[in-house]
Amino acid sequence: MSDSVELTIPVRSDLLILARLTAAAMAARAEFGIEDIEDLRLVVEELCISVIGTMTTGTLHLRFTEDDGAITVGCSLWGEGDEDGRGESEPDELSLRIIEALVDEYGEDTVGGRRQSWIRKHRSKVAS
Amino acid sequence: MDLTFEIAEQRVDGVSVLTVTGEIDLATAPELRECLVAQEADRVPAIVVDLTGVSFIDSTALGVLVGAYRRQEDAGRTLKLVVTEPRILKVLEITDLTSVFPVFADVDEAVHG
Repeated sequence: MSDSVELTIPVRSDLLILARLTAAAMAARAEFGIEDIEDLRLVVEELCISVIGTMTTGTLHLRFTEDDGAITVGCSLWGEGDEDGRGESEPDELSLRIIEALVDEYGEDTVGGRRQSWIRKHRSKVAS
Repeated sequence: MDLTFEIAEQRVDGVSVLTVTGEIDLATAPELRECLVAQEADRVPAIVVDLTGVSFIDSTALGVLVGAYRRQEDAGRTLKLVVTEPRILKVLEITDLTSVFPVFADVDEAVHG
């Protein structure tokens, strides 16, 4: 059984903290360790930044799903004149390096006719 | 988690020291950039950015620091970082920026190093 939380926020830099806080809360609830929680907070920020690109208007839609020791976060942009769900620019190199280093999987797909970027991170195994 | 973002400026032996606290993200990185540009305009030989009190840093903030570092280098000056927080060091290592920035463990070492 999986649990999902959806978050919809205007494209405003000062509101991305809400995405980070949601990621941290989901990860803590899924019993991720502190290091994993911090990794997820950063990756969700980078995911949002990469999806927003150069857009300054619209709505950012995030879906957090916890399933079997992993959290998947999908992110798309809903806005006027941006029907495919992404901003104009591609993620920059620094952002990509961070995402690639800290998640198990990432990619893009189409949900409800909108392109979304997504990441998936598994809970690290704790040495006994 | 300290959510209060602040930048304190001081001069130590002719070096500009910016002490940053809180989270540097898409919202607060522009303020850091403004502050760095102002210091660059003063043509100090070195700028030290003390990140000891920073609890979160994203690619936007890293981009601001890289931009300032390059401008300083182009002008024959330098920019150094003070980093003690393992989280921040981890992000610098992931992005391979530890090979770009001179990174120090304390301000005194950065100012005189």
